[in-house]
Amino acid sequence: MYVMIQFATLLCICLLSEVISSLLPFAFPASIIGMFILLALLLLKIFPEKQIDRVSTFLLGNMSFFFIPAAIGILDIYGDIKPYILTIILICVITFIIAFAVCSLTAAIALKIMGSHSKNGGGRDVL
Amino acid sequence: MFFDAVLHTPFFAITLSVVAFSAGCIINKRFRSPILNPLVIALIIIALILSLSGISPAEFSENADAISLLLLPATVSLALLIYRKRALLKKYLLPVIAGCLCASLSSVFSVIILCKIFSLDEKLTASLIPKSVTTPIAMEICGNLSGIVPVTVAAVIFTGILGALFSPLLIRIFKVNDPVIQGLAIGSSSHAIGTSKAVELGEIQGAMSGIAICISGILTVLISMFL
Repeated sequence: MYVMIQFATLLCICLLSEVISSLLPFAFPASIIGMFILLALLLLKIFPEKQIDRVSTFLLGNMSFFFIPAAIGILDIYGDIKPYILTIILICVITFIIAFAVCSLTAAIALKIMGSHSKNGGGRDVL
Repeated sequence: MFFDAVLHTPFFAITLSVVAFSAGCIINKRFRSPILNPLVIALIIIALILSLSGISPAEFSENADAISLLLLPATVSLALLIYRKRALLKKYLLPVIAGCLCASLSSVFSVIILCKIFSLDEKLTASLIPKSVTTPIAMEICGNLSGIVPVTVAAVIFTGILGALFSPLLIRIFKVNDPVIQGLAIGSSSHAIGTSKAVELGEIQGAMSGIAICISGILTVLISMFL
C-alpha cells in the first residue's frame, strides 16, 4: 500500500475523531476517540492492518519527536517552577513507586481470581 | 547576521528539531542508557542553539508547531499496538483492567494528596496528575485540567526514566515473579520509556507493558473527567 494512501487513511480517522470530539457535550480527547475508531475498523476487518502499518509504525517509533515544540516551553517557565523542582521530583518518585506496587498487587489478585493462569509464576523468580 | 531571516522561519525550527532528534537517536543507540533519552538530548541541543542564536523558546515553539500536528495521528496509531496484542489482551483482560485501573487511580490520587501536603498550587497539581501515562494523552489531560503542558511533558519523561532505571529493583523489592504482572506494573507506572526496559526483561513483559500503556492512558482520561 502506498505510504500516501496510508497517511490519508490515518488523517481521515483523526479528522473524524476531531469532529466527534467537538460535537460531544463534555471534553473528551480526540486521540482516544480516534484510537477506538481505528481499533474498531481493524477488528471489524473493514480494512487490513497493512492499510496503515507503515505510517503508524513510523509515527509510533518516533513518538517523542512530536513533543519537541511542547517540551521546549520548559525553558520559558523554568524560572517560575525552579523553587518547586525538588518537590516535583519527589512527588514523581513516590507516586511512581505507589502505582507500581498497587498495579502489581491488584494484577496478582486478579490473576489468582482467574485461576486459569497456569503458564507462568508459581513463585519462580524471574530475575 | 546575514541569515537572520532564515533563523526566524518555521523551516529552520523544523529542520533543527529533526536534526537534533536524529542526533539524540544516534547517541541513544550508541550508549543505550535510558538517561540519554533521544528527546532529552534533542532538547539540550535545541536549547544550546537557541541561546546562541538569540531565538526565544516561545518563538521556536510557535515556528515548530507544525510538528505537534502529527501528535494526534501518532497517538491514534496506539490502536495498532492493541490490535496486534488483542489475543494477549483477551487472555489477561481481568488483570489488565484491574491492574491498570488501580494503578491509574492510585497515581492520580497520590499526586493530588502529595501536592496538597507539599502545598503546590492548582496549576502544578493539574500538570502532575497525568504524569504516569504516555505523553500525548498526558498533554491532553493537562490541557483539559488547565495545567502547564511543558511541566507535564517533563514529569512524564522523568517518570519514564525512573521506570526504565528502577523497575528491575522494584520487581525484586515487591517480589513480582510473574512476567505478566511485571509488564503491567512497568507499563502502567512508567509508560513507553519504562516499556523499553520491560522489552529487555522478556517478550511477555514487553507485550503486557505495551498493552498497559494504552489501557492506563484511556482509564486516566476517564478518571480525570471526574476531577
